[in-house]
Amino acid sequence: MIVKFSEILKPGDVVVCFIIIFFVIIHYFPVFISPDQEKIVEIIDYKNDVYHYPISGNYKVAVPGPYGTTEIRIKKRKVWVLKASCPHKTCKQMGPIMNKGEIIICIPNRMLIRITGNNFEFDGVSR
Amino acid sequence: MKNKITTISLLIAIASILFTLENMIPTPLPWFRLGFSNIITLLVLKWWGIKESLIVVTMRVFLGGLLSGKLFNPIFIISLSGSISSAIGMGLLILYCHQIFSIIGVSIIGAVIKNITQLCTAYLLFIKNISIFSLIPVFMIVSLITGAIIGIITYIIDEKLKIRPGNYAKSQ
Repeated sequence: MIVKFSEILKPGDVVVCFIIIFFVIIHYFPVFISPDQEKIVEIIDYKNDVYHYPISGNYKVAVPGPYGTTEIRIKKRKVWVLKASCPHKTCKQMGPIMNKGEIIICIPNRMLIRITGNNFEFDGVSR
Repeated sequence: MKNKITTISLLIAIASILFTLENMIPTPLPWFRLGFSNIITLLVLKWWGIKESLIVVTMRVFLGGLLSGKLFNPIFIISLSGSISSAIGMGLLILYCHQIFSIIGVSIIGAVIKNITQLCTAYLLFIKNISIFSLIPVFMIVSLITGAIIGIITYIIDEKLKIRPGNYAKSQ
């Protein structure tokens, strides 16, 4: 049996479909065009001290740790580890991060870098 | 109609079996269920009305819970609340807005009502974490897809049936 949608569908159906799609687009729109000013680089070191830097800036940060200092570069809306003092240098190999929710972790130096925003937070469900 | 009780019992049996079988099918997402038993709810709503559909829905959820061994656990309560609210909502739409909405639109709105009620029930009784409401857009997209599929299947079944029980006459 062939279903002819033009005969079944009534105006309300189309309106409902558009309302739902519109609602979803409106809800997810801020994720795609999130302004860079709202992205913040958060660095947590081995003493649980927290540093905040805007991602749009140009910084060179030295973070102390048990194995020595780690140099972090923030430039051109990207964050990466410039110089690692830990044995494996995994954090350096992870490359640059730029999107909200991404993290770089150095386990020997007990350091965490993550990009957060102040108005739109991803929680455990969305991640 | 004389054999109304028989027909409704048969429909309850079909709905319970569909409800139980569907729980066994693995799904890509945990909340992505097509809800085949909603076909029966929609048919009963179309043929009789809200009262009969409430009987069918309640019996279906109870029997389905009994068959799958999940009677009175949290999922059962969430499912019961969602099914009852969506049956009432779809019944009111069929009763008063059948000029505006076809069976597909009614099915989509019913799926949306069901998912939002389930979220609210889960929030009020079990989870108590406001962040679960950030799932509403995902649920709405899923409702749109599943509701449309269920609506089309219901339409085809309703058209194919030679004998219609109840006092529903073909009026489209």
